[in-house]
Amino acid sequence: MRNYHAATVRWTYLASALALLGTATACATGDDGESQTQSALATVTVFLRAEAFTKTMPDGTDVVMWGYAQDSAFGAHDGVLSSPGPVIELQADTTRLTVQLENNLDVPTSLVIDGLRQSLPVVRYPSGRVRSFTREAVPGNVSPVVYSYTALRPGTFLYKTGTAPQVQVQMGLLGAVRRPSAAGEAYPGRAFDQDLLLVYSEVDPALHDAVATGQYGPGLAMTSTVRYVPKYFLINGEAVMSGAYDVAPSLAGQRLLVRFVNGGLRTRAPMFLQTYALALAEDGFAYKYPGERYSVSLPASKTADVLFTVPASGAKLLYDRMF
Amino acid sequence: MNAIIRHSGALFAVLAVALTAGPARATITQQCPLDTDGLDTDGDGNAADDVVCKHMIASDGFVNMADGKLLYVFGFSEILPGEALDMAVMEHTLGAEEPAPTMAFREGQRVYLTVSNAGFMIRPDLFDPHSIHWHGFPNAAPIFDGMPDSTLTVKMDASQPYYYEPIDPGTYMYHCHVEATEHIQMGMVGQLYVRPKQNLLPPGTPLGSFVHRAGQKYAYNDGDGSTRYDIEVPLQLDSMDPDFHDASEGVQPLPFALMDDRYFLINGRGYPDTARRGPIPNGYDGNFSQKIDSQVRARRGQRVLLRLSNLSVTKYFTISIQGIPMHVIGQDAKILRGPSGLDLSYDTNSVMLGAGESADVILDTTGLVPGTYFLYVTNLNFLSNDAEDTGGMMTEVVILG
Amino acid sequence: MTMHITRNAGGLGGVARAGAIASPFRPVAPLAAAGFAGLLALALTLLPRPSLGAISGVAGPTFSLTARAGYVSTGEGGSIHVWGLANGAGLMQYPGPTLLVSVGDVVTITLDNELPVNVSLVFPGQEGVTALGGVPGALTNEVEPAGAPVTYQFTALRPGTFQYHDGSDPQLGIEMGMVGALIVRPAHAGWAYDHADSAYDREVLFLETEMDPLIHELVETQRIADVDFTKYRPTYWFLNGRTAPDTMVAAGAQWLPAQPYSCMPMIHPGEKLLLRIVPAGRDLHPFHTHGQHMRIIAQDGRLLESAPGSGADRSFLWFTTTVTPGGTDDALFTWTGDRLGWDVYGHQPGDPLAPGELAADHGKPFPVVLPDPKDTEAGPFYPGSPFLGMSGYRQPVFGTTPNPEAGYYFMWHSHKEYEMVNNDVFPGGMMTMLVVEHPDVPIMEM
Repeated sequence: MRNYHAATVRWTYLASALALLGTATACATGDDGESQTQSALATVTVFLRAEAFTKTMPDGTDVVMWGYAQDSAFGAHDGVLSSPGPVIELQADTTRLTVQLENNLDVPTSLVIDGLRQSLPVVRYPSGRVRSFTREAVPGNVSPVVYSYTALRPGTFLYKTGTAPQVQVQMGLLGAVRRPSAAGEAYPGRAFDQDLLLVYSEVDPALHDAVATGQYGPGLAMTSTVRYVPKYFLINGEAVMSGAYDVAPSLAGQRLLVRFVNGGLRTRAPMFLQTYALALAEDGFAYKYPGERYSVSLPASKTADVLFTVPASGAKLLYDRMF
Repeated sequence: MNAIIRHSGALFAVLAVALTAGPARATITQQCPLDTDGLDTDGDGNAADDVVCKHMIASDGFVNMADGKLLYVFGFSEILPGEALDMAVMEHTLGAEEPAPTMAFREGQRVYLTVSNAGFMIRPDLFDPHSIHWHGFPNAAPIFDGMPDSTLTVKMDASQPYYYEPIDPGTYMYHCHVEATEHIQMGMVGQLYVRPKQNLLPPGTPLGSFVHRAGQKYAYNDGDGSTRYDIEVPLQLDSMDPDFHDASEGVQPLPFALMDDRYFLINGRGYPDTARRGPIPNGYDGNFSQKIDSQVRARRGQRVLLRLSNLSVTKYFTISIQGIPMHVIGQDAKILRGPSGLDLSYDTNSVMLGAGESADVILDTTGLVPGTYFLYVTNLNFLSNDAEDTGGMMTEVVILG
Repeated sequence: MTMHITRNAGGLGGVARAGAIASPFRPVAPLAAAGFAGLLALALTLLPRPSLGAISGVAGPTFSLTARAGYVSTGEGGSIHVWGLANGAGLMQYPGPTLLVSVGDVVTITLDNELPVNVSLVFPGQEGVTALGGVPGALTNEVEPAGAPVTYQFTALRPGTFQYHDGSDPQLGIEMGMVGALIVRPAHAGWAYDHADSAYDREVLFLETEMDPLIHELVETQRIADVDFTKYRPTYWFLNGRTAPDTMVAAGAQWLPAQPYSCMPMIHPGEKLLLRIVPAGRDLHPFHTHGQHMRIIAQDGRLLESAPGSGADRSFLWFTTTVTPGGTDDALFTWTGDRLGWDVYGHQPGDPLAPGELAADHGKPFPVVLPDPKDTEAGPFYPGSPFLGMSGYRQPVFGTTPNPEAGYYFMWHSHKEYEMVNNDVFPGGMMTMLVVEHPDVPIMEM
């Protein structure tokens, strides 16, 4: 059968359905009490809970995913699980990000943020092979494992599990961090009116089924991820990668910042129609000489920030020209 | 060992050919003239040491993947100075190394490279010629470019000379170009780079606002010290399809259309062998066929130059290091500078490399807590040694206090 | 009408000898004394070489295209059902016509549809594109099967290299063949962009695509619903719609009616060759140029400048070029043969310089002794000596050589080497040759 995205969903407009656009001024820090009671805006504390949940794909298939929920406090369990996990919103003056991780999975997990300079204590299997790039939270940890980040800079970043990433990232343990350089400014001198964040990921149901049924591991039905055949292609957790984002003519004149985050394992190539965009940065590193492009190269784990003024005709953003 | 039994028929076949073909055999030769021109082309103050002679010999052999799988390969090994050339075919048969011995030259040297062909022990039915393609050599002429359609390639039990004047520093790579899809998949790949004359400056020489000090090394003639490094680590990315290698070993039709690489390698090894220091013998005949580990070791504060190249025949790879961003200073053996000198170097968290592409990356280890960090492919399904998890294209970056 | 890009090659007529390239991989038997006479004769005549790299296409600014099914041939003798684009009432072709317009043109493209699915065209890199007629689609107006045509219109505001492709179901439409190149020429002849940094002597198009023949078989047999792109596995790779060795056959060859474009550039030492690289398929291809680096001067139809008018000061050098699918790169390539430490022309020290030859290596002897001929195998394009042209000493390697003027042949190919295969048959696929001819050998742009 032809994969569902082209056969059944086929070209999907998303603008209103997904409400992906957030205005620049609305990008406030999460409402966690920590950041208000402690050193004002300088520190952002996020309570993330890793846990399994079930996602129903557009063809009706239920897939067990691993995702993150943002709780109001460790153990509060009042957040909603999703993959990608909640966007970690930092302010221009945020100097410290603290993530308190609760692990409700049945395996150890951890958290890393790509693109940041970090000292990381490795965790190994008894064989000596690396299990985790950094400290782990054991299943059902009763007190939070705290990850602190101080080398923060403006940009868009991928956060993800640092434990057995070849399995756990595929299962859904990924998300995005964004930090402006000032209110309404992506990088110094690059002001925007609208901020569109697009997180790409992929689902190979064979792995998800094997993990969910305890059939992944040495001697079991599935022993490695080498045969990777993703069937679902997600943008912000929804299976719409075959489509395009419609930048409506009503946005004409607005400066639209698009933050691309590839949490998948394959290279993607978003492409604009009817407009160019200024390539501002990759992995949160601003380019010295930004250039105008209409295509975006988005290798696995890469983030890319582009900026353009919406033309009178509006514009289209083909999610992936390599799809 | 049962592989030897398995192949004893082939062995006899080779012997039979050797015995009957004796009188017609060519010999292994090398052209290595003395440096008598009185010119100091490499700028080291010695006018008699500019000539460098290298001698690579092609054959087949075996390597073990990190999950233990024994893989039949084609490859090169090096005939070292002083080796008896009349014994070279015998000595280097089944001597293929993954990757091939690294060739590192200095700008200004004059390189006489000899490529010899010892034939295949396990595939005596094949009479493939071989070549070396210096991938990226500027202004190459076909005669030394190794491209079989437009030049000469060397037959079995014979030798062919190549000549290069490496004038542009940078990270290149080399491979056999005969029946390129097959020979590269089978492993005829190696690392090749050229170090700049700027390394030889007298101490105290100003480079703009930077002052060269004794022993400092650079990736390019940058004129400002921006490409300086303390530790140099060449990392060649590759991948192999065990079905293709098994088919070759078993004299079966080669599955080109179905090619499906399932071993993902840095310097010919998958993790954790990448971080296993020193040469590794194979399980076939004990030959040290995987000589190059890829563990990066640096003291905190040192600058590490990664010379990255990709010689897979099927894959792009995106490489990242958890916790240590990258500064990309060169691509395809060229410093990242515009024609008017614009600094096009850039910071990033990952580099995507296509087959036949290279990049020079500087890692700044200042302030890192000593420990082990990981360089790995962000196409995470390649963190496998075929059916074995937690392997593949990954290695350790050890920061010492 | 079909327009040929011409370059004055000295007004030479001459015999078109493109057919000599038809089977570049056939073994060439070493010829003994008899070949020498032929060699001498060739040396005396120096026939002009017809370039197989010139860009041919359809001149605008008004175009009429029809989406139509047909077949393409592959290098190993295969045939694949494709959906291509015909120029008006002409034959379906793959890729679609290369659209040639000038900056400032109001470009009008009318699209008709003979296919069983909706089709449309999108023009990445063009702004203010309007679509009239047809039915609304996700990206633009679409033409229903046998439906009313759609007319797309835009003003070509800036020069550059672009592509166009299906916009109704790009995943399937691009795979099936509805892709093409669009070239917008600046006011200044011989430049690719509005700056002297883009000046060139010759130009060539590298439109890269790939195909999974199983998908084409399903489409051909009316089983589109069974197409599953998650199992996508291409086994054919194309340059300008042809697989090697057909890439090296003359443009418009009669036995390739649906694949009119060749892809075999020919230059003299020192000339600037403009590569218009258009990855029109869905996959990444690392395109390696033997012989020399190329300087990437533009991406997505924008000169790599740091400020307006600064020229290509952000340009850089690559020996293997990956271009983002859907995007474009323009690159300049020049080969001189200098700084090798020996004289590629085989000159004696007192000989005059060849045109464009740098003096540094002039007259320097060839540095090694070539092996006995029985120790080596000579390729069909081996010029018979290490030297360019007929001036050096030569080994008698050819009788019916495809390289009679002793040019230098450099393979240009995807370095994902499994793409140099036609469905299991090596060699083939995304591969061609650059020919550097001796300055005395005229190159005719056809």
